[in-house]
Amino acid sequence: MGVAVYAISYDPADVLAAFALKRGVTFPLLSDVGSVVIRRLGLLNDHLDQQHAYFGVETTDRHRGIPHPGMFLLDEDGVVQDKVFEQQHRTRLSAPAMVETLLRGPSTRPTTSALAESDGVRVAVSVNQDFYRPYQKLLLTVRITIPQGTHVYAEPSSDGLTGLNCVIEPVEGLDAGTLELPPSSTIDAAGEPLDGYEGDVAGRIWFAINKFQGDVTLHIGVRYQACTDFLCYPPAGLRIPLELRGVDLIRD
Amino acid sequence: METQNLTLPVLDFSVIGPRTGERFPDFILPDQHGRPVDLHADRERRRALVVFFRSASW
Repeated sequence: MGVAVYAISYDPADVLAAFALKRGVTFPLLSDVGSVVIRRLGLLNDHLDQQHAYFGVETTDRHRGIPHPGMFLLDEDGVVQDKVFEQQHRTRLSAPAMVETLLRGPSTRPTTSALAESDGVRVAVSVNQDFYRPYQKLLLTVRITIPQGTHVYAEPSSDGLTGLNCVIEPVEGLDAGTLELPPSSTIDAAGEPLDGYEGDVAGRIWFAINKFQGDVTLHIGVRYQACTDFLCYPPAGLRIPLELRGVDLIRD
Repeated sequence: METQNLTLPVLDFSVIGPRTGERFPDFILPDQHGRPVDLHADRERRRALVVFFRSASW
């Protein structure tokens, strides 16, 4: 994809050289001693006291001068196309999530996926890498294939109908967002307009597992109600298991 | 320790640092080999990911 990578911290060059050697980093690690550029760009983390109070950490000299954690994507002209910053240092995008959402390219890491079907509606769930690491943000994708002549309802649904939704059942340390879906369309359900989906629908949920617990089986709950012009099925509730290998944080 | 009333600040990063749609400011910083790197000259019209991180030593 031809993307140059630069990483900036306040470390002196010899610290960065040792780190690059140890971790096999070949892209430039830039040394902003005194956090001069970090300050000039307005990226100095000046909320340390409040953050440290929250985490119960004592602020010491090494904390002064750290930037907010995040990244900018620049286009060919050097214009900021996108920026992704985190509220705290431990959280970060997984590489495949970065490639897919920021660089909009295909990720080459192995994925994990599972399938289920009910009332002719097929549901495929996948995570864009086959392992989790604490505080790494992963992307769960839900692909729903609805046969022609059938629709499912969107949330919030009316009249006792069940709208399409998907949740990750809690595991220890799970930090999950809500299902992001494309806008629904208006479906003429036997003369009554209702919000729903037809054809192929893909949604996603951001999540992280913030406690290492070895390999994990996530259970993905998907519910929807499929209807044709003639009949409505009872609400479907699928529970799809998805395996993720556990990989702990690197600790030196 | 009393932690009930403590909250993590929620920062709006759209207004912190260079903004989307703006040209990223110029800077020159030494890399891990001590070689000065001029961001926009070095990337040679390639797209670039500019990452800010805490430290390589802790």
